[in-house]
Amino acid sequence: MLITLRTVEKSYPHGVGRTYVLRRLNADIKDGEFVSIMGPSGAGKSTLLHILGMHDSAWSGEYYFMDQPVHRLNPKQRSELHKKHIGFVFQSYHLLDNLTVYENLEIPLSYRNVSRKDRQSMVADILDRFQIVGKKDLYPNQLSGGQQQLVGVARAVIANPQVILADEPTGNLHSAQGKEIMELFRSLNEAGATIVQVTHSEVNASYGTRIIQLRDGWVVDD
Amino acid sequence: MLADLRQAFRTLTSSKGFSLLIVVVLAVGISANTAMFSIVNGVLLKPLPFFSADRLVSVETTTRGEPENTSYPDFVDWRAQTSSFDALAVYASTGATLTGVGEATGLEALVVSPELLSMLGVRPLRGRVFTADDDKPGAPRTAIIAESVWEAHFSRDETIIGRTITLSGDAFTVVGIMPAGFEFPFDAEDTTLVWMPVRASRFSASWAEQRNASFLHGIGRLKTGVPLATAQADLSTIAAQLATQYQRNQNRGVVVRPYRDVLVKDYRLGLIVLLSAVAAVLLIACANVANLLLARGSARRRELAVRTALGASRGRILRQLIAESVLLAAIGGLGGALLALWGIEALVRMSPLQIPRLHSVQVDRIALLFTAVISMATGVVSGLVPAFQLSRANPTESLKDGERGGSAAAGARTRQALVVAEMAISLVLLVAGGLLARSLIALQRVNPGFVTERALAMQIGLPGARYPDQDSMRRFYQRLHDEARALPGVSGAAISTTMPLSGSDIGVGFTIEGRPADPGTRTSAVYFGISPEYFSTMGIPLLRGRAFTERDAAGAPDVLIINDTFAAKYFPNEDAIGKRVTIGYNKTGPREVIGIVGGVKNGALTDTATSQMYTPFDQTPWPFLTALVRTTAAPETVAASMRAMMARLDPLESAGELKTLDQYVARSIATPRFTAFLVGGFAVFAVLLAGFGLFSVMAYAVTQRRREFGIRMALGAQPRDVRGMVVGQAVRTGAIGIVVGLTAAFAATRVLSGLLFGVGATDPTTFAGVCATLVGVLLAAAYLPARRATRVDPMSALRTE
Repeated sequence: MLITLRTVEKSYPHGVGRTYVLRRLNADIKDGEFVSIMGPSGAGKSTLLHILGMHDSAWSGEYYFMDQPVHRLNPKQRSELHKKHIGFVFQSYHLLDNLTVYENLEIPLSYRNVSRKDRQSMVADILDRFQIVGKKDLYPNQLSGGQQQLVGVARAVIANPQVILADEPTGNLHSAQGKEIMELFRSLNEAGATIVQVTHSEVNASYGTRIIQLRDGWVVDD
Repeated sequence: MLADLRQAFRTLTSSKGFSLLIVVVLAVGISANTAMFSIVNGVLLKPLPFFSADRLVSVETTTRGEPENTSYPDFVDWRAQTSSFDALAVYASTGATLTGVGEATGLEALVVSPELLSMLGVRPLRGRVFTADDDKPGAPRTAIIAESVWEAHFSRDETIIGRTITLSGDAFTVVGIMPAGFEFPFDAEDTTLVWMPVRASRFSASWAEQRNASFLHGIGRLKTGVPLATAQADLSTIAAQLATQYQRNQNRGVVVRPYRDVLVKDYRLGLIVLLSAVAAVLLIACANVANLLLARGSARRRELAVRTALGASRGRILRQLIAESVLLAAIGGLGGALLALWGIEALVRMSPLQIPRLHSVQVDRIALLFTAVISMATGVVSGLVPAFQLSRANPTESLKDGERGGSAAAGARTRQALVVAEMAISLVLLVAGGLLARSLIALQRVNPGFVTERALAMQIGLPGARYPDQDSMRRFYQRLHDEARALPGVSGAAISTTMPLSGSDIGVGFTIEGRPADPGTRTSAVYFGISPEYFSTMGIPLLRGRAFTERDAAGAPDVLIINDTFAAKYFPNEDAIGKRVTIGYNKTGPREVIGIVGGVKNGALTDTATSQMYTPFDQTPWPFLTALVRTTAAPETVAASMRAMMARLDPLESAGELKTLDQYVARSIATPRFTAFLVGGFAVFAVLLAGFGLFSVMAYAVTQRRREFGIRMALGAQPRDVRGMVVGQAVRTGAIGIVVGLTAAFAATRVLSGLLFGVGATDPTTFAGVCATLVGVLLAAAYLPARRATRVDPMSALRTE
């Protein structure tokens, strides 16, 4: 099993009590799956995604990633695990404004201490694969939303992660651009990557193989 | 790291205004530190430019523990008997008039024992330094001239060595030329231009055989490995032996101290206070920059969260953020170094000339290294707090679209803590500046005991070669007095051996008739030989008895006038008038006290009352004197006619220092004025920075609370309610800063005690005034953000959320 969640809960103190964002959540995600997390606003979708992405450590329960007990790892070990196996795609792309496309793609590699020479060849490879070689010296504000998200996805996969987590990846795109991105996810999935996306869109969910429905922090359908 | 710096550069150039603001704040802070460090380094730290300078010590005679000058016979005995020194030497400043090459020119001269120049290890540019033979009694007179004299008066004539020149009427053989860079002793006002052996100058030769003529400064170089204490013990033993041999030496000892320490002892505290002040300014600048970075960091929280999500460790984020602040500081440091190059000149120009070696201070390699180090430290210090704060933020919140950053509250607390620190440090500086300013005002209000306005004093030396006896000196003095009195624009003229506050004084011992001399009690007073009109011309009040008249001339009964302190000290319960006192000069008999005058401040305005006594110049002529004129218009207008008068009276003698009495007073307070002006200036800058810091925090807080203000106003809050909230927050922050600052100031200002005059280190008026000023700054800093808060449009504020 790639991901195993057992009775995962997330809550905030609220007055004398607590407000729960996720309640006793259990889930298993196998290697190669394409999972869509759906639900109304405030259901806890993004929270779950950030827990999976190991950005959030303030939760209780058990989380096994490739048989490693994430809930027992210290922040440094989690960070290592995350760097090695997970890529993240954001709804608002979150490209770094001051960096060119090339540099934005290079950033995750530099954080993984990949040598300069290897970085060059890996960036060149991904630019070619995503057909954005011509955009490599442009800054994010010189790209359309679709192009930015394309770079965002390229950035997520450049370090060859096993899992790609995507938080409403087409939320800010018009339908044609959205379709292009979803096709890209499908091909990545077919190439072996496990994909977990948060989406409101039934159409986007249809690209996947499985839907997890959340409501008020509970899994209501899987 | 290079990649971090490249990205940092990119980030900084993307917000040019913000970066420029920080660079300017840092450049000003760093430049002040570089300039002040250069001065401290040049004056206090840098080794003296002499051979084995660390082994150079000052050797001074002490009388009952008080250091004073040394007599030549004492020095000769020390030199012969000591085993602790490689070399021991003495020197004293004097003047010499160069004649025979163009106009008579007065030159600052130094009489030296023959080993001084070789001991300092400075090689002459031409010729040689003195040998023991040059100082033997009856030896041909020799002199060494400065390169500037060689150039100005002898056009760099290579045949100068061995040539005879005329100095103060005597023929001297030039044996050497000292290079332009050589400076000893360190006196920018009166740079030595000619050196001569003690016995070569008639003036010092006449004193060289007298054990009671203490006029020399001693300096020695310790033998390698000999500690100061050993040398001290060695010379103390010799001094004790001399005390048993000579009545004059009873109560005399020796004190050996590092030469550099003695040289700078009067300036050390002031310079350290100034360096501390600029360091405090830089700290405030750092706090301000940290605050600005924190405020901007809030806007960058999402970017940092993305980096974290992409795998950046906290260390990498820290590195990235510190790279930015270090880059800012490096640019600020570069700007600071350039500013300091200019600033050091301004500082040196406005600084008192008395501070040794100050005029040759430059921003050198050490100072640039210092700049580089403080720039890096500044970058790290100002970047560390924001970097820790921002790298600690939880990325999840920042990454969720439409949500605000997670740790805004913690950031606000940090920003407020920084402002508290800024306010506290600036309060300490402002108190220090305030105390020094009040001290300066108190000094300026000190009555020197004489009228300083419209008075000009000209110093004159009478060379022994042409004024060999008292009659020749009297004749000159009389002509000088008469001519000066007749000058146009002169309302009164007088003669005195020295002038109060001129930097020169004469101490003379005395005995009171009917009281046995007690070797354990020191009876000496500051002495002046004066013309009859001296008191009226100076404006010194006659308290009792009478002043001198023309009848108190040579051959008339010997008379003496004392000041009130003398009378109170030595004749406490009796009338001093009519008492007879024998003074230790001119070997005259007892003198009758005929008058009591008010005291004058002689050495410095801070002097406590000292005993002073006066004799008629005619009865006690000296080979040097000062002509004083009281003028009807600005005294400077008479300067030219004074010099012309001197040329008429003796074409072979030049006028010496020509200064107004106001200049004497100004010079005596130049150092406290310099310190007060700079500390005050730094304090004002610090307060402005702190005010700006508070303003930026308040402005940021208002932006953060825009929605809250909108809601409050929608619910009926009045502008004054909102204004009150903002000002209240500023006052709370500032009040904590003031309380912390007051506590720190009470502790810190004690250090200043040594620099204060007429005001206590915890002067309540200064503390209250500073608090009031800071409250004013606080309200001013809060006003604009408060006004902006009241202008929030509830509808638009709520809509933007």
